[in-house]
Amino acid sequence: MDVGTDDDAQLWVELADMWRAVDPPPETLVERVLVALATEGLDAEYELLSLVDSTARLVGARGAAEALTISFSGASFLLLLRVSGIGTAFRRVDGWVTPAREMRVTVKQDDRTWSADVDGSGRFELPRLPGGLSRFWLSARASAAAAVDAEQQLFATPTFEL
Amino acid sequence: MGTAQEPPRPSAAWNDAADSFRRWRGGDAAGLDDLVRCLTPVLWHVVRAHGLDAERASDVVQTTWLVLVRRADFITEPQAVAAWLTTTARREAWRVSRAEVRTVAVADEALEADVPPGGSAESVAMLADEQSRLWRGVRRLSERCQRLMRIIAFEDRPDYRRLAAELQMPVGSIGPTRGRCLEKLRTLLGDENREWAANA
Repeated sequence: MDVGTDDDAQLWVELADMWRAVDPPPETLVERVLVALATEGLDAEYELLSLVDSTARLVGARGAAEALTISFSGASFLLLLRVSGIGTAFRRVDGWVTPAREMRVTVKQDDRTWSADVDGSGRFELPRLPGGLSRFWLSARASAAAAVDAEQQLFATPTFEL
Repeated sequence: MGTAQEPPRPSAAWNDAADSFRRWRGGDAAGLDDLVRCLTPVLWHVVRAHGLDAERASDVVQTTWLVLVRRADFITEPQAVAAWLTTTARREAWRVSRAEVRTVAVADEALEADVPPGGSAESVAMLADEQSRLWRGVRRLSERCQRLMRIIAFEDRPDYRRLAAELQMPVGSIGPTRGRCLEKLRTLLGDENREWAANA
């Protein structure tokens, strides 16, 4: 098919090697995926939310003054989280669902869960959670589900580091 | 003028993936672990080629695996699982790259500069001479060339129709463009060789 095929083939191999060296995946990525798959509940149908933005990394020890925001999008709403540090091990989460919708939010870490209600303004708070790999689940509350002709009742973020 | 050669099939990874998938579907949970370890790096590179930052790229990779677990019953041919994964990852990466959401800014945040889908200064500094030459050459190519070549370098026969949509090019021009990108890269590398020789 071609002249110089061996050279081209070699170049493609070198290019792949170069990118592997220059931009490897984060060391924790595989672990994050395996944890997410292990905690995957396959019973119920749910909509997986996508991370769209996150003002990222806190550098060094987290202090009470530092916070980060993370947002996820679904087909019909946006979930915003503001995460503040409480000491080094704990977090406070203030959340918003927009457009506002009454839901129940549950955070899962390993086999522990914390829950809160999302109020009529779409707001919720989780005053004290351990930091760590977490997944946020949202379920439409019965009264809201009756009013909104939503196909989907259950939503979840991917697993992420809180 | 001939078109550029097909890159060598990443066939070892593709075959390993098929084996792992078969084992998993046959009841061996470790098969899924092996599949994840084997193909996560490939998915990472293919997703990063879309220009996503590290956090969003990681999220797309994770989403891709979650979708696999939910849809695995629909993958009837184990040999196709790697292609299915890369296609799903690229579709999701393309979708996410188009979402623009402004979140509430928080004044007290410490922002760490995100690593561009190129690489950190540290990782670039650690490259062997040959690789850093290659890196410098690639960086001088157009954005389109860089993305195209990164996807091709890691995928086994990428879907040209999807690539065309992602890069907003006619399908028929993908092959020739790939050839031109390679040619341009060789020219840039050749230029550097000549400068090197002239200054030696």
